[in-house]
Amino acid sequence: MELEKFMYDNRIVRQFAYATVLWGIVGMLVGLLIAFQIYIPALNFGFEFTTFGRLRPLHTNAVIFAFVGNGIFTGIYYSLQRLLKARMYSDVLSRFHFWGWQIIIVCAAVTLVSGITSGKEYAELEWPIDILIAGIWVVFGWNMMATIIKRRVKHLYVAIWFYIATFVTVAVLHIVNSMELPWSLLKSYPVYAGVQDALVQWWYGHNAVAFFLTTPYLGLMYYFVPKAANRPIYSYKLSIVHFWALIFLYIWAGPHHLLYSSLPDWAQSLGTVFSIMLIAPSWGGMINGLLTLRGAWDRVRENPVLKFMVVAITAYGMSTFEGPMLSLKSVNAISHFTDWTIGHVHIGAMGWNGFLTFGMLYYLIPKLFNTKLYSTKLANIHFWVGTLGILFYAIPMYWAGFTEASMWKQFTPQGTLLYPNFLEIVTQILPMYYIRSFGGVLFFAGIFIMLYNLVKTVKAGTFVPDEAAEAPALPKAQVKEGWHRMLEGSPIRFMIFAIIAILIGGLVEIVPTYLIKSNIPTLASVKPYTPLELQGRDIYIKEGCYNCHSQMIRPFRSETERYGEYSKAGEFVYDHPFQWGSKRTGPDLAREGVKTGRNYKPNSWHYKHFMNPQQLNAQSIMPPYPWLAVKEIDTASTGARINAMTTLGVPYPQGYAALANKDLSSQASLIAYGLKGDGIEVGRNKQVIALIAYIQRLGTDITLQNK
Amino acid sequence: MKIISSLFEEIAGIQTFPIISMFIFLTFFAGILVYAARLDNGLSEQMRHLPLEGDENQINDND
Repeated sequence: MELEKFMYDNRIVRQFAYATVLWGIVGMLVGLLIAFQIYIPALNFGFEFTTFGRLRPLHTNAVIFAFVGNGIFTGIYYSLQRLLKARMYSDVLSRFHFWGWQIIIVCAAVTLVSGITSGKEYAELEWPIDILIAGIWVVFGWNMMATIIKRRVKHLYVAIWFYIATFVTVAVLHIVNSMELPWSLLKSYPVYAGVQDALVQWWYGHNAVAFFLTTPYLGLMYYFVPKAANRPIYSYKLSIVHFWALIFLYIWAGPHHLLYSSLPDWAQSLGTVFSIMLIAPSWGGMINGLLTLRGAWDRVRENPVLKFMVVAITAYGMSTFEGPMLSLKSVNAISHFTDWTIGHVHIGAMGWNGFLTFGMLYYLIPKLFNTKLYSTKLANIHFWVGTLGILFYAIPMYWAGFTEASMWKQFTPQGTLLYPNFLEIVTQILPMYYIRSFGGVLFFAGIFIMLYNLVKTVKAGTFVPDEAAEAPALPKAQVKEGWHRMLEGSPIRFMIFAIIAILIGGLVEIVPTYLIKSNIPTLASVKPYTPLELQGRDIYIKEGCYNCHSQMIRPFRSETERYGEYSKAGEFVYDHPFQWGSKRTGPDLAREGVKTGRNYKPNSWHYKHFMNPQQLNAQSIMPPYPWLAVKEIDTASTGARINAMTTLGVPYPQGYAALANKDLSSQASLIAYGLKGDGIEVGRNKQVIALIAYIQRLGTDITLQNK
Repeated sequence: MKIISSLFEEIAGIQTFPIISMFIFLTFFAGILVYAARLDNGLSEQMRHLPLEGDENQINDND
């Protein structure tokens, strides 16, 4: 058969590879800064753009979507062309995808530090950027699917199945979770509220881990591990079972992030059962990856690329065993809201994603520049520094998690909390934070060792922008064969099957939330936020308070003793978005405003605390928010906010938007007047007044008397 | 326009949802297992080697 000559596009691979390193450095630098901020509040610099609450979303988004995102595209653009024996369908689409993605990252960075956020973890970007992401994602998918269609290889290798599943699922997740109603050029409210918002958000959040951090990287593993080891993958049959089981099961597991919350029990149980079952397909992938190296372990000893990949796959195996364990209710009761979760996700992010990316870059860059890696020794040093970094990061976080949980839950023989002061517990875990930041420094230093090594490699070689290749054209005739081979022969059919597999789980979880009666609160005492409280709530979201404070009291005695009555689903019906949080670096705030509660503080305390937390508690690690007493409430937008909420079903009286600022002013005057009585002079139009109003509202809808 | 803003309440027959879910998955999983078990070994070998095709290096898969 006649061979067709063609060129692989290496330029796009190089662009994404460089972007991966650049954003890796940025994302990890911000991570390092917040790791220090958490025990040195002065490092927040008293500056709104550099506070923990804004930088933590920047860190997570930068690492997930910028570092790992560009890593995914680097690997896909390299492997896809070679597995299909075809150049990418369109160089223009490739470039459009690259620059579009980088523009999204820059927009994300600028908006997040400016406090323009949706307040939903890992989905913080606001509606204009959400639309941009959807558009660029379609460009990526279009280019990929069109390349698959014009391929010269009959069947699709397992790596490509994972790429297709990634494309379709991320599209579905992003669109469903980003349903929001804009009320200004840059701000919106999610259409979902409270429990429903939480369910959709964690269905998204968990599957962002699954289909952004896991499936594309499994695809990369299936390509780069055999290439680096020069051995075929261990088992094709195992890859079929593990692929379909994995994408089918993953989508159900989201509710395990909401155990013991106000989510209905059936949904919690569903999440737990499917999470446990996930061990099997996850370990199927790990086994397939590791056993590919059977008989070749001597090469692992010598080859840093394989070393990085082996540790990456091992970290994947650890995380995917730990994840299901954390979804057991009894374990989750201990781990949730603690630093254990932070340790868990960093084994995945640093070990699985980080190390697989490093291994891939050490493999790719010399190939793209037609040379050898500048220094194997330096790559080995990076490997050990990085591995130590992971250990110094994760072990203290597990230790901190156990410490927090045990101190939160400990009672005296008389039945009172042994550590009623939350800050006492925070102080206990500070040494763990010190060690964690040392781990971060090591990991970060490793990146620079890699950067030096790669720059030297690039300088020593000659870039091959268009790599010549040849292959026979794809024959038209199809012989009768099994259904999976037929699917592999038809990428569109394969894509549709993948969509069906992920939609079943999504539909079973999400549809019930639409079947219920809407707009009828079961708790008659739950009222919409006043205009001032709504403004305050939006400031709470803007400052990223949810990054350190939860608003979800679980039904444990240790929590009801500490915080008050446990949270009910009906309390959150007007919360667009929900603000339950996922970590308690500071105490839960769900009942902060209950005057008879253990945690109630007067307005003057809150004011002083926002201005200078260390003045009230020398050991506090909360950053100061002095600008809240300087900046004014954006009253021009009150009407738009109320109108948007009304559209979303919040029962404000008709025409209330026009009157809202009057109510806002009177409530603000009362608070400002009260503060004046305590010797605090602050204008009633300042943001701190709105935030205090919101904080004092928290948890007051129901009390023990009227529940 | 009213967009849904709602609460979980009693949903009729909600207890069957997890059971249906489990049934769908197990059926699907059993199907995949049977298919993989019956798959032709020759095809399987060919698929395993796909990424290594075109490599100049000798593939050593005998040990």
